[in-house]
Amino acid sequence: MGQRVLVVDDNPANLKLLRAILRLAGYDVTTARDAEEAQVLLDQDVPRAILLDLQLPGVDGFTLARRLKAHDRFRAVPLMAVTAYAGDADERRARDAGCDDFVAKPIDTRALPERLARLLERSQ
Amino acid sequence: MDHLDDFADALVLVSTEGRVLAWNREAEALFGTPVAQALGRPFQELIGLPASGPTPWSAAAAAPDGRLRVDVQVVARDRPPLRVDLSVRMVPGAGEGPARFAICARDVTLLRCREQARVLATRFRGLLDAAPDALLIAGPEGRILLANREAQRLFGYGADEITGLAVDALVPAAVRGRHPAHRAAFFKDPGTRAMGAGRELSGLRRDGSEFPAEISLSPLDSDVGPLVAAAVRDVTERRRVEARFRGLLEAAPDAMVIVDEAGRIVLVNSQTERLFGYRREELLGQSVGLLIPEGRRAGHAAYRESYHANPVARPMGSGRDLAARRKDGSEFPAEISLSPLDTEEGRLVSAAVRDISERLRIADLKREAAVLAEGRRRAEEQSRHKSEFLANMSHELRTPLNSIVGFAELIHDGKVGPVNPEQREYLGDVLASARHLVQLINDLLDLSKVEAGRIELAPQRLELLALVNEVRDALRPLSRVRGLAIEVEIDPELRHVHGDPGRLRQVLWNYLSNAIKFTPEQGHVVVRAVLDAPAHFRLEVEDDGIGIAVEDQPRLFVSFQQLDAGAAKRHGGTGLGLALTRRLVEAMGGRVGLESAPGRGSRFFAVLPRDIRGMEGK
Repeated sequence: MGQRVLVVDDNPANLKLLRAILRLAGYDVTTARDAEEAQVLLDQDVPRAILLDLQLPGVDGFTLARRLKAHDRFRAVPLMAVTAYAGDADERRARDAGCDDFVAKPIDTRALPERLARLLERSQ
Repeated sequence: MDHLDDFADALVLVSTEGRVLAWNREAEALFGTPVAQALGRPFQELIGLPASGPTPWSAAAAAPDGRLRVDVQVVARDRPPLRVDLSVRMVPGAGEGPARFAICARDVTLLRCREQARVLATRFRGLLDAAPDALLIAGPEGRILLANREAQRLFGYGADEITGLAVDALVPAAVRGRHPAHRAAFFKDPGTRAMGAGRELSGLRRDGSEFPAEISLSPLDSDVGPLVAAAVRDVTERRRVEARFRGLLEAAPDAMVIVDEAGRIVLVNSQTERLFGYRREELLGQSVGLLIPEGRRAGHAAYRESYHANPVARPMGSGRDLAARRKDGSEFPAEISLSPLDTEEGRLVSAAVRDISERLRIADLKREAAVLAEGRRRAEEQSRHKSEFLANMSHELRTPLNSIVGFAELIHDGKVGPVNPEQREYLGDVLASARHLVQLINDLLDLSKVEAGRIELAPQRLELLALVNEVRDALRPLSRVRGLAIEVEIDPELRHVHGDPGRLRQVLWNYLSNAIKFTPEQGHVVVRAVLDAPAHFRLEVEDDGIGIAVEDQPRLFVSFQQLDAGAAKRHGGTGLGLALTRRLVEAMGGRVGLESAPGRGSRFFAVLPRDIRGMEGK
């Protein structure tokens, strides 16, 4: 079994796409549709990395990122924002909220696995 | 004739023609002429009697006993008039010589005064003493016959002292010389008159001090002849009040015009002179209409009447659109406040006039500025709405595009299962279209940000050569397909510049990808960076492609203007690239340009500051 990553995205198609890409790259993927579902999964297990959509219903991705980084248990888990917020200002906001990397949608399916690998390397 | 000097009375001996034959020392004293000058001169002339007409001596000659006793008014040179009692006796001439007349003259001025005073006192004393003003009654000789208690108090004389006193004694020395002429004029044309209207009069007290006075005169016919009654009022207190009032007027910031019930100007301050351009003398006593525009004078008269009927203080700027007129005829908008002033002279109205041209001008400017600001605010709001809309659109479009591009890529790359060449080609077309759409969205978003002034620059020191190579390498797949050689020439001076690498990359990307698209296969493209005065550099991309006609060049940097729709479709341009490039370059404080001719290639360039630090995003 590969390393476990959690993907949080409210769009089912995008969730499916990320799961496909990451599985093809050898990761064990769990998915959540919103911050609450993510919280439940996180309580059970600490993943190796989290890919996070920023626009979520209810608690948004920025808030979730801040909570995770404020939490001893999750502080070390690398956070990658994967978002349709594509501007420079959005990237800055995401990084301020605690995201370690930022990928604008539409994602490059060929580059994403490598990018995640580099992020994981950096955080070791 | 020395023995004549022994007499206590003035003695004069005259001929029948009235020529002085003898003149004793007392006569010198009484009439003010030395004997040497008196001898041989006509007596009438010396004592101010008419030169022709009956004389006391001709009357005496006609008298049965050759004697005459008469009271005459004597006006000798440089002397107050005197009342003189003349006793004339005809003296027969020596031998056959002509008759002569001996005249014994006695000053009875005071005597007569006392007599007249007694007469007057019995009649008027009670009345006069009850009056609050100082009242004096004087005769033609200018002697005071009667003075009431208030007059005695005012001038500082006792009752005995003031009776018979020359009126001149109450007149300050400075004006005393003119006083007899005034008196003579009064008796010539007696009538009630107020003295000192507009003039400063003064009274002289016994102790030598002076006081400002207001004096009115009226003729008084009496048993003892024509007299004059004078009422004298000490106006020290009023002058003090007036002075204080004037001080108040002068201290007022506005032009103050005080007008009487008839609309005559009574008082103005110096601000009035300045504001209206008139000197004070030109205004006092004039109709206030002088200060009112001609077209409004009639209305003003009616308004003044109604104001006098119901005078209330009316503050400045009670909404009336008023104007005032300067001496030169020019008019200015004015704010005028009125308040009634009840004085001893009747009701006056005080008007404070303020020129409000400047204030109106400022108000106009403010209004204009407010309108402009509102317009700007609305435009900014619209622009912000547009940017927000585009940002939201961009976001909403990216989400479905993410799945389209993503899944197409996965299938295209054979990650999901085997694909045949035809499927791969079609998936490639899906991907190219989807990526075009993404580029369109990105360009639109950037363009809207630049237009809304919300582009943010992130200046940093960067290596120009590295940046250029990076862009060239990223576009290599495209250039390689077309068999193009891309050369890079960077001035060694431009190893480092301070710029926003992301934006610079975007600019170069747009120019270079265009050059690659529009240059025929096996063509030649150069990316060049050269110095440009004073502190700029010129980044240019040169190709040897089809070139662009001069008349088409201006359209190039405008949104959605593509010269060849077919070529655009073939090459996948968005129609926004150059417009965005121009805006980005301008936001970085630079400018874009193009040198081209059909068939001779094109050179697109951007002139940029070598250091954009300190520039705000625009």
